[in-house]
Amino acid sequence: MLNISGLTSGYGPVEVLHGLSLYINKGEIVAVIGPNGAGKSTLLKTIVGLISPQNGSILFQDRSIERQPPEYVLDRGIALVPEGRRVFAGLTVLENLHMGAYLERDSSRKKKQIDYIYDLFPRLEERHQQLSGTLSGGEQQQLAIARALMSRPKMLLLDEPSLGLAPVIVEVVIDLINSLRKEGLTIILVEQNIHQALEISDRAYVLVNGSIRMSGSASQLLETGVDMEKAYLGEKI
Amino acid sequence: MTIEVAVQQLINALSLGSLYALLALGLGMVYSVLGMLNFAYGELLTVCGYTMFLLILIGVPFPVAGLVGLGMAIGVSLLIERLVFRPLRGASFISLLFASFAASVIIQNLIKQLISKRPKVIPVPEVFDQMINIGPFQINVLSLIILLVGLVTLAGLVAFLQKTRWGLAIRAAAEDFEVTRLMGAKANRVIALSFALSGFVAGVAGVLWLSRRGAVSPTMGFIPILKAFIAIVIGGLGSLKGAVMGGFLLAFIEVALMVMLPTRAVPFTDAFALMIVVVILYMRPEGLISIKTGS
Amino acid sequence: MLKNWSRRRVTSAFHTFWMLALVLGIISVAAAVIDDRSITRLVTDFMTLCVLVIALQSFIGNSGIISFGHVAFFGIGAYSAALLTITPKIKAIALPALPVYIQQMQVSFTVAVLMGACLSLLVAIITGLALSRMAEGAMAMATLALLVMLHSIFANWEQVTRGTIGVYGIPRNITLFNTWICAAVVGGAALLFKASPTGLCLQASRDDPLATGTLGVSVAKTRFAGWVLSAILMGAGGAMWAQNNLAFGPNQFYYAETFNLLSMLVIGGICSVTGAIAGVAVVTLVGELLRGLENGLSIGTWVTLPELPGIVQMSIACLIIVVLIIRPQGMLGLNELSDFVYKRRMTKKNT
Ligand SMILES: Nc1ncnc2c1ncn2[C@@H]1O[C@H](COP(=O)(O)OP(=O)(O)O)[C@@H](O)[C@H]1O
Ligand SMILES: [Mg+2]
Repeated sequence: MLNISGLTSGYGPVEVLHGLSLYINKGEIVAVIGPNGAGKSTLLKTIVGLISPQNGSILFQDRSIERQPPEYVLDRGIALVPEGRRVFAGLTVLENLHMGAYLERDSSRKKKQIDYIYDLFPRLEERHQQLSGTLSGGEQQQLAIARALMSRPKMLLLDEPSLGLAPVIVEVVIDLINSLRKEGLTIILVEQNIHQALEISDRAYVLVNGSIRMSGSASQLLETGVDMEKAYLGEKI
Repeated sequence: MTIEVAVQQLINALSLGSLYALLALGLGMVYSVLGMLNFAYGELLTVCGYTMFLLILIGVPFPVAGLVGLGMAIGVSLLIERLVFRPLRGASFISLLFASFAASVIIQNLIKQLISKRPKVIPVPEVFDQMINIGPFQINVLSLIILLVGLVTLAGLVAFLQKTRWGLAIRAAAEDFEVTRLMGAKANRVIALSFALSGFVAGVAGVLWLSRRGAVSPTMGFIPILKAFIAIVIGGLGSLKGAVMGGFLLAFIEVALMVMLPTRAVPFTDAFALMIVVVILYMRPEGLISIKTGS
Repeated sequence: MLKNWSRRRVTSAFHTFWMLALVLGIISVAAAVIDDRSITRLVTDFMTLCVLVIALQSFIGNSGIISFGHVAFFGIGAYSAALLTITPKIKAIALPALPVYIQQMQVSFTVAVLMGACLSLLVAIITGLALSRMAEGAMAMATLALLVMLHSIFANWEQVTRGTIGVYGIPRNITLFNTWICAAVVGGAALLFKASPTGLCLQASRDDPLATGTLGVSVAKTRFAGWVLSAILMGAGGAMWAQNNLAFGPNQFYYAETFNLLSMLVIGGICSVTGAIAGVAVVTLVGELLRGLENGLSIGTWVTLPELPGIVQMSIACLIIVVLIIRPQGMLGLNELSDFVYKRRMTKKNT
């Protein structure tokens, strides 16, 4: 579904990703794990078009999407839940959801999608008039995911959804990801927390210092856990 | 002070306040979306003023001239965005500030060269100077007009920002520009929209400002932008609500000083007002409404 | 971490210092040799502007906060120099309301410059205590407020400043030699500050205010130091300027002059003292070249170009925009004069 090859990207003259390749099949959950500063967020931002790559190609459903602006990529069906949630704190929950469906002009379809979201996240319906800055961390993460789902994406990119959440809440988020997969959504899950990510994903890539260090099925990688931690630490020093 | 005078001063303060609030909202709109101060904002009022001056000179009635002036302010605002700020997308705060500073000097000098270096008088409709009686109170017509137009424009803008899809995008961009792009809003379009709105507000404020002043000059934009700048800083840079509040607060401080200061100190009103503003900022370095706490 | 003087930085500041002093010295000597009135005037103007722009650089460049208020210190320096150097006879006529001891006073160039700096220091301490605590945006606004406040004082305090009429009769104490000394000393002070631990902290706060705060460095204190230092230099520059210009009014310390000085700094590069001087040079040059156009020009007997008021200012504004687009950091970027010489030496060593 998504095919990345030889991707080089970064900020201005600084190169962060050094020619990496990966693919995701329809319906899969693929984890991208790696230490802080490895370039995971940069990878996701490049996919959605916030950053224009220096080199390489990104094919989504056999169409090239590199160097396209975010609105184009979103329209093709890829939505990103950014790191640190970044809900619009001064907007109400409902307004955040409306922003998520910014490209949807048909108001009855928008209404339907909001009902669907409220089914999925009853908490958000209860609080739909509340300013989202006043929600708890877990609720904000739900809102961030809900907002991304408002555009009816085919593929969802999640950047460290468990960051800064209490373990109980992390469970909720994991359940949510599982139920989204059942609905047929393809998911890229970026995490620093290796075990949690591997438990729910099908395959995984280990990203260290801007290159793919290891890849394979999640169960394989879980078995070779020790090696993987070496790959982590080996680069950190 | 009699109750009549107090009410008159109150109306003055409200009228001046709605003008300052408009000015601040226009400057704050671009600041909150782009994170930059547009120093050429004052020149939008100048452009509006000179358009009106030229039209009135050839016999166009005041209200029509005002509308065309308003349109020019929007046009020039968009032009500045396209020619100066778009090539500098992503530049630092200080670079953008200098660029807008330069744009303002260019516009001023163009006016000096194409029209005149000297101030010019604009004949305003006579009814502006009249007083009307409402109950026991005598109130200046122009103050009432400014108050009304100011409040209606503010209400219209608030409705636009609250109720429409584009308004929502502007408010979202004011919070987090990058995520707004992620939601599918085109960056250039949101920015251009904020400049258009900013130009619109400057145009309305320009017509009102001219009605008060009755004259145009190439450097007339300095005072309005100064007031707008002060107002948005008092309000808390980046908050649209704060900009409006800051505008009213500044007007109340000024009117209060004008009423209370002894005659000998009147030339120093501006200095005193600024001193009070600096004291407010000293006590609340983030302004009245801090973005970070979101309160 | 940033508590100690770095030997390398001080050395390179010193190298830049003597090279700049040398270049400015050569210009002065050349002017003295040519001994033409308008050339001498051009050079003293140039040196005075260098002092003013370097003073501006030492705050804006290190702190990254734009200040519109420095022209106020320039004015303070100028007015204090005027009051101290105008002959008692003229003062008795023009400023009869002055206290007697000021009326009687007449001091030399150096004393006037020092007094200008001191008075400016005083105002900088009072304002700096409030300003340095503010957030960046608020501080920029407050500096603009300072400009307007002091302008309204200059324009309305008639007993001391003669209001909008302005003061006159200042003796022309400036010489090629003493402007050169002033420019070199001020340049040296700015370079030394830039290399000092306080200067480095200030630059760190420019690049990342939050992180600097967490390092245990008080951002407010370093900003205060930068503010006060640059005000001292600005006041000294203002006092020099007064003794070069002989008569002036309050409108000389307002919006137009602010734009003028800031544009030189931006074109040269706000982070560099060498850049400040280069900016003054470029703007002076452009000004001299276009000044003819501004007053109208006749080519032969037939073609007469119309007067173009403001063409100089406008060209400089365009130049700023172009420089910002092509070289956002200004002509010199982050480099000082010594960086060029050293880089060349390094590459020579490597090859
Ligand atoms: N906006 C930016 N500008 C410049 N460099 C950045 C920016 N964001 C991140 N980087 C750099 O890119 C590298 C990778 O960052 P990131 O993709 O955020 O890593 P991760 O998400 O894996 O923690 C880091 O070294 C970081 O310093
Ligand atoms: Mg990240």
